[in-house]
Amino acid sequence: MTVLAAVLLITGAVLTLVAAIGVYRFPDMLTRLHAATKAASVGIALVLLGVGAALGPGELAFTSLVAIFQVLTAPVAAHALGRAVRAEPEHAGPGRPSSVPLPARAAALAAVWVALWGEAGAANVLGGLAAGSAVALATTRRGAERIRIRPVAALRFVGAFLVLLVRSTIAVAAAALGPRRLVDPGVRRVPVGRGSTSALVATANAVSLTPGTLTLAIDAEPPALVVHLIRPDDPAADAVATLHALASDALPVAEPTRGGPQ
Amino acid sequence: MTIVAAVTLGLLAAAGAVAIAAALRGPAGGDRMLAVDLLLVVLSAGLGTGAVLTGRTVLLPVLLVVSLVAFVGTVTVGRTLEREDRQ
Repeated sequence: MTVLAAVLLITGAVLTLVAAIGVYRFPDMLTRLHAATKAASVGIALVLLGVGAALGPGELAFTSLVAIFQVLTAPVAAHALGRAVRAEPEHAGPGRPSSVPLPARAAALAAVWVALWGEAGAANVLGGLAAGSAVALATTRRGAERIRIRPVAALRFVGAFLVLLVRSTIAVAAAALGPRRLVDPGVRRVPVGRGSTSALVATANAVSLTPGTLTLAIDAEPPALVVHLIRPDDPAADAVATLHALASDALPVAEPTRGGPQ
Repeated sequence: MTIVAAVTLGLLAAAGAVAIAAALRGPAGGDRMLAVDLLLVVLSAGLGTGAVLTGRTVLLPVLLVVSLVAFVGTVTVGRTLEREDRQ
């Protein structure tokens, strides 16, 4: 456990330093976003996991939560800053709002509650279920597209995403430290197949964390992602299409709910 | 573990220094916000490593607060900059 913690801490800190160098060296802001979203969030996640591994299981649950939060919010923050630089006025947006079924949301919130306490005692689990159910009920929206999740396909999506995340981090680190000719940024529109709204959104967020690509906008009709690339010759279009195919498997189009607006 | 934590803190301090340099250089508001966001993230990692170094975990909840503030702050500034652009 100690060796694992040491490896995680040092690797994470080195990656964070490389990300900072990338933010300093890259020529324009959209390219800097690549360093800040990919290398930095992975680096910090590794440091936080290392901290948890060094301190104990309760602390590990807590720091894992912060690490997951970091990785989940990085694409959103990058998207907000990216829009400030390059507004995409003509896209229709991803369409109807969607939401995860209520029991799944309540269970996820209960898990967050238990991780925050850092101890899986009966009182914490019951309190988490009560608080999670209350928040899940309060945030239910009428007419939202119900998200269906196929667990095995979802695991395959997450697996493919993690592999791409590692490759992406190495690529960005190489670009941050290497000669400047490795960086030749550009914007491209990548068409994707038809699928559910949630699959499109999941792909957009995953793409922001994978090799040399950053989602700037989502087109709903016809479905496409506007991505910023560190290098124009990147095989990134393939990665986007592959991720979207996996996401469509994991998050299929839901049957229209009876009585809800179409 | 003490040596590992100290080395980690040194690397993070270097990352923080580079982030401050990037924030000072800019040139635009978005570039500075990006660098400050990175600095906050480095700070939260440093807090965690400090807990390993001292063995005291009282500061761990601060990690969550710093991450939240960094996220909300970055999104807010991004939206503000976008609105300024449109006007």
